[in-house]
Amino acid sequence: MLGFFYKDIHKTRMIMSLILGVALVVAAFLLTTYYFYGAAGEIENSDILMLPLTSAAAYYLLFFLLDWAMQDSFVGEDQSIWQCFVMATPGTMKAQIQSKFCLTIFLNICMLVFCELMDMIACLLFGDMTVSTAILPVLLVCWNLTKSAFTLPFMFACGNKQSNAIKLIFFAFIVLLIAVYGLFGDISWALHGNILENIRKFFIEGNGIWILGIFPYVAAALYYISYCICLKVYRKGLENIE
Amino acid sequence: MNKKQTIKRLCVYIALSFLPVILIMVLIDCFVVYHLFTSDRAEIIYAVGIIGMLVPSIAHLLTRLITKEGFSNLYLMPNVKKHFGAYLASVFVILGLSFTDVLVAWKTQFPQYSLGEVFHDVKGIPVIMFQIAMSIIMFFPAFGEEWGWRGYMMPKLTELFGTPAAVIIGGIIWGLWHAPFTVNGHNFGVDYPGFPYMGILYMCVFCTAMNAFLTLLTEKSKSIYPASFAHMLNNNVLGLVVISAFASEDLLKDLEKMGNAKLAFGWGIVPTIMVGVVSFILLCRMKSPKSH
Repeated sequence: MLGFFYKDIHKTRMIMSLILGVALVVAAFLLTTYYFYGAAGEIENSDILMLPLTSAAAYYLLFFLLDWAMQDSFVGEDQSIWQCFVMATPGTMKAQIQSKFCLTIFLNICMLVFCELMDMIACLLFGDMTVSTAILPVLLVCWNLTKSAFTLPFMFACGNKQSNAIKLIFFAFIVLLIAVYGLFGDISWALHGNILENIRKFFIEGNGIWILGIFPYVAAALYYISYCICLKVYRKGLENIE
Repeated sequence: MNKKQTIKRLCVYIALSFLPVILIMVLIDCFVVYHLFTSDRAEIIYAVGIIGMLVPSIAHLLTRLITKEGFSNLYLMPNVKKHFGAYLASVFVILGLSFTDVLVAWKTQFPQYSLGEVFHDVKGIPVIMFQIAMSIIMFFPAFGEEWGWRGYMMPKLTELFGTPAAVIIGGIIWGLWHAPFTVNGHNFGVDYPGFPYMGILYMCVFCTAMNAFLTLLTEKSKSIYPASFAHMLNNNVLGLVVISAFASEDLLKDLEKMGNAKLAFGWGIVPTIMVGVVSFILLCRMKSPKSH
């Protein structure tokens, strides 16, 4: 497994360097913003909420970029010659699949550390903890694991191109769900007063806390189930892919 | 020669892990805020918490580079499959400790409240569930400490003094490392009799007990991650957090009046000592650690 993991790291090193570059630019932009807002002294309430929202957008962008590295690690591996080689190694397909699942966790934890350190410096520069978004990267790790749990089996079974199409369908489904809830569901809790503040209250003080509490465990369970499915579909993929 | 080299490496490591912390706290004390942990500068407390916990790991790395020790026996492999029990123990023992702490605190410090009032708010369940998940996902600050103390210092001390003495000496060194924070009001505040010596002494006892448990986890699994998870859980899901998540409003108000020191110095340390003693016995029964 270690050999495959090392291979994946080596293979994606260029993309990872690029992601690091983007992350540093994003960090410079964010920290400068926090510094100037902090130096400005008293700021309005709406701005205090806008700062964490900017951070959230930046974190989401950074975590989204990790997909790029994961896809890059699959390039060339949907060919039967590679899969036959994998089956011939001592670890067989299990080692290859484990390495991909470990790579996803490894990349996400690295990004989490980066974002948490960025959050710490942002709070120092701003001079207050009210703008801290320390929980967000944790939730984004869970979200990324959930996403990978859905897409990895398709990557192993159908290859990179088809799995991209499936990923798009997955996203479209999530957007559709949110849109349907927005149109027909009860969103009165969010509309009275400041929407951002209401969302924060819903998740910290309201019933949303249950969603926060259960989400990491659901993500972990889905990730494990996905691993078991991958073990089953890998051999089928080998038969299907030319 | 080998023993001399180990002593030299240990001294370099201890110096590199103690000096930055002392320096940071002295500078903050002199130029930023006096008694940091009792001030309202939460952003500095947060930063010092993370940076301070990363210092032992950085000291570990630097010691290996300075003394040209190389990079073997790093305890970085997860070994999950072989030692899943250690991972389970890292979560459930600490959770058990936290809930026992709550019960001990209830019986000794606020017996006028019923157990129903201590575990009043059902919303405490998702809060604690999230804290557990967050501690495991965001384990890197605890990894910062563990990779230094359990991943470097303890194997060296064991090599020099044998397991029983190493656990006690290691625990005291780890407790003393917290002294610059304790002097600035960390954990206990500054308003308690015998400040800060009682706080430092208490931390030494607590760290010795925890050191036995965390060393047991590390040596059993030959990995630093179970100890890191246990350490992070111990920091994030301690008894006070459990009470705050579940307690009724009246009890919370009483707790606020009570203050940090009275709660921290309570009988809550007894379960930790018991876990420490059991771990100590198990550690002593283990075969002497071989290089892996």
